[in-house]
Amino acid sequence: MSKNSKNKKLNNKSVNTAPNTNELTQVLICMGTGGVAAGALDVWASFKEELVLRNIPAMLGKRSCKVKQTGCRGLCAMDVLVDIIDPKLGKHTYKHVKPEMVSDLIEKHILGHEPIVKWFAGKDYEQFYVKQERTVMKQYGLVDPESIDDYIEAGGYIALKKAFKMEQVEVIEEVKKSGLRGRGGAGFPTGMKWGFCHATHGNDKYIIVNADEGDPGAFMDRSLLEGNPHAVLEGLIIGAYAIGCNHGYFYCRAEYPLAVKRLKIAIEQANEHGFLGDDILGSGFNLDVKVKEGAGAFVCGEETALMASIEGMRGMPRPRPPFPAHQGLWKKPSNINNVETFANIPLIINNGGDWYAGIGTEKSKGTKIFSLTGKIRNTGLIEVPMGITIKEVVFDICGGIPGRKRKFKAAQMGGPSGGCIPESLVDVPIDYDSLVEVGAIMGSGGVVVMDNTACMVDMSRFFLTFTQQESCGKCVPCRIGTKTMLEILTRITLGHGCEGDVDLLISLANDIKGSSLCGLGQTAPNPVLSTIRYYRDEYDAHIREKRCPANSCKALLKFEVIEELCKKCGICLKQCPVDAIIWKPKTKAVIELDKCIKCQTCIDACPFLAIH
Amino acid sequence: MVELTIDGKKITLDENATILEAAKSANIYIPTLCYHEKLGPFGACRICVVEIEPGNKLVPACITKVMRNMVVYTNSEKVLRSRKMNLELLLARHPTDCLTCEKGGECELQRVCFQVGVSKGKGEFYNRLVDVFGVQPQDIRIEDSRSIIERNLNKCILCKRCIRICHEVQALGAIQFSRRGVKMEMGTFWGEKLDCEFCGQCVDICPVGALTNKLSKYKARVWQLDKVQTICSYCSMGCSLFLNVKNDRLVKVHGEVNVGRNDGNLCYKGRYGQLFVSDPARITTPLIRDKSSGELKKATWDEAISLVADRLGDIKKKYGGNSIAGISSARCTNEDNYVFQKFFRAGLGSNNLDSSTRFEHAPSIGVLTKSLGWPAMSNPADDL
Repeated sequence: MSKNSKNKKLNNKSVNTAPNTNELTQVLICMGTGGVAAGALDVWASFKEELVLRNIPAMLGKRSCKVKQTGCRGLCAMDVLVDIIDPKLGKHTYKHVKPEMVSDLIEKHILGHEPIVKWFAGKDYEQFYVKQERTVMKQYGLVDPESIDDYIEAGGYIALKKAFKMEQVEVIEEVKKSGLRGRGGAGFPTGMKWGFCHATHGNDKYIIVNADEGDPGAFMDRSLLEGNPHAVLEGLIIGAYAIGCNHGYFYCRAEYPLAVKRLKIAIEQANEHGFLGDDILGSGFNLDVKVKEGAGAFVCGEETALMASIEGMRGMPRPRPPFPAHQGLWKKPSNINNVETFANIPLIINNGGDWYAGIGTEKSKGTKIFSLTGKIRNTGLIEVPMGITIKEVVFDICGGIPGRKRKFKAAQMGGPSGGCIPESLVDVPIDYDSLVEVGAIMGSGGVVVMDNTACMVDMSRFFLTFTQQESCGKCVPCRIGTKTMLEILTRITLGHGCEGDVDLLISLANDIKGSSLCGLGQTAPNPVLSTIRYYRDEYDAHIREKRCPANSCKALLKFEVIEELCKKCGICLKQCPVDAIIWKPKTKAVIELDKCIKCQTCIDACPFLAIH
Repeated sequence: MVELTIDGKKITLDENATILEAAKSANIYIPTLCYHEKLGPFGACRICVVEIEPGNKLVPACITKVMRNMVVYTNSEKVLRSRKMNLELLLARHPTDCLTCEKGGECELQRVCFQVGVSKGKGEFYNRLVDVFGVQPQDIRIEDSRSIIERNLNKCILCKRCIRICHEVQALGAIQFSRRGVKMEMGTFWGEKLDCEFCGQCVDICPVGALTNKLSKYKARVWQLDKVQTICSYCSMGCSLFLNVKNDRLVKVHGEVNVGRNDGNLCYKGRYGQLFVSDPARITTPLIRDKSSGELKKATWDEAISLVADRLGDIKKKYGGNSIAGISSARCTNEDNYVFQKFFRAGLGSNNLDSSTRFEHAPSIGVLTKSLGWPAMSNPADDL
């Protein structure tokens, strides 16, 4: 097919199917994994059903109503979120929508043009977006991730066409100019990486999207792939063109079935539209893209292990050099970037590297997507400019810590490879270099927020349990060293810690960091080191006084009510599953230890932290 | 060619060499465990780490290529600390039953610990792991199978040498790692019964006592064995092998790298098929059948040879040389076979000669002639 006819077909298609949003009433339902888990599929079904039952298109005269699924818009805590866009009234967002609310919404809002105020997402929802700068996620919550026409209508694949008019080197130059650094964690400059791979000789090169997101509490990549897979795909095609790769791979974890499904749909649609395959848009450039599903190993997020996994081998890292840019997948030059990195590329090409470099700090450019989980009011996904502080993220955007007596204690940045940011450092700007200075890392963007009921020894034990289980077992320091550290930590949390344990941990941690083979082992001790740095007193309390200051380590709890703190509310009584609590109105609660099964429910339930 | 400095010594060598090879060429010892010269790069044990400038980074010497003007320290404080840590960690979980271990004396972990100066409970850093905290050695059930190979995973240090030689040299892939992290173990797919050629290459290459030869269990200590180099008598490949002899009795057989055409590789016959030499039932002298009783009786070689010579002479005189046929063996050397046929043709005047090769190799000759047009080897073994 010639270049012209292909373009013509393209244009026709986008014109024909483009919905005229000015006249349509649109219902946008959040159908990311978060939404689906909250029941979005039922809400979607009841909207469709109700609209058919009521014969809505006819009732609205010439206009019709469009129900559309969208990707995650960020505020997963309020799912299912539904936007109703009325041509006259504008956009209104409802939170916690349930199927039984649907008929009222249609009756009053869509037909009656009277929004139901009590179900509005409200102030928190608006507040959530105030300090965010949504560039990559701009279209999330607006476009249908399973429709390429929607994406094209929202300005998609324009960057690709623009890139094809540029020289390969110009594209790389533009990315270099933008200052974009890898969003997978290490923050290597993307333009430079592309430059290395572009400079290697050979016809067969590979470009790989690393979507093996495995950090506990991280779901940025999943949401990007579920919410707007075409944006990532477009970034990949531009990258492949710039480097000169004809083969592309998405390495996505199999635990993300929805992301894999939407990715496959996106690739199929892009093939149909001529954005993939042979002679893309008449440029003479070929690219075929495959999806490879991971088999559930965290270590396969490491680039060399990932490539071994694609090759069908055991997912084990190999030493570098040779670096993938010279010898990667199937021993061919390969370039590998994170999902979010690729999602940034179309923006850079569309708006120019200088525009991108204008966002963020001196050394960290652009915006970064973070997923916030843990003890925080509004869990979810946010996109903020580099340089914003933890304080703004936790308190201004995500609404702070729930619970009266609960206070912000620390935020774990960068998952099991990162470190914690204590309350004293909440004003540290979030950028690659400042975070490293305080002992954390940017990581892929998972932020776990902890309140004052979290024991930092137990927290580091949790993350070490994870890395220790996920260690591939190849090199000695990671395999045996992390296991040994875990044994020491477990002992401390059980109250069997002894003097010198902390020094031993520090010494082991540094030695493991120094001699491990890959990034997993080199960063696995980080949570331990950072918690010792900021919360050494907690370690000492566990070891010397056999006491857990946060009342979290079960073996060190007495299960007694602290009389001075008890406000006689009786909440503990209601929560106790075995009736081990004696309480009468206006008296202090007492726990009967012979009945108590030490489930810690009362401790979690007590609003005054009066049980220890 | 690149020039680099190792421990103050200037060395010039090929740029494809590793730091380990460079150190070897300068007679500088760097301890290794997972490295083996026959196998590809792996870099897992981190015992061979050295410090390099610029950067003062620790890198494994066995896989890091030399670079121009590189400065390497093999014994700096940082190196020794890391090396000792890794050894101590390995040793804390390794059962040190060296007294009864088959590999005792030739165990590489033992050797490296000795050279680096690490022993259980007496290390510098993590000795407390054993003493104070009672870190226990691994305790996995020892393989109890009828195979001639004993697998003791408690002693396994997961260097992957067995798996690598099975994949890279034997091209078989009968064993592989399963599970992850500390739970990782070497074994067969789904832990099924080992189904392979039993060449025993994995046993030979195992640096510790994780894979041992059951046939020689408790028979001898390494230092009691005399190692006699000889040629395998099974086929015409002529593999070099070493007979391990204690008190004139053969205990086991092993191959050594860089020795012989086989470069230390042996097959199941070469490695396990030689023990017949010390078998009491083996015939060690010629036997001549007693005419009156019909029993075989021991004789000297002179008696036997003269009997054969007389009988052959009689037959040739009576019926002519053509009535005699000879069958030679592929297990004899070329020289033996040459003399044999010469004796038949020139001495006895008979062309009736054959070889056991016909029975063994006839099928392969047919296939090779059909597919390649040439019935013998088409290329040297080294090219494979």
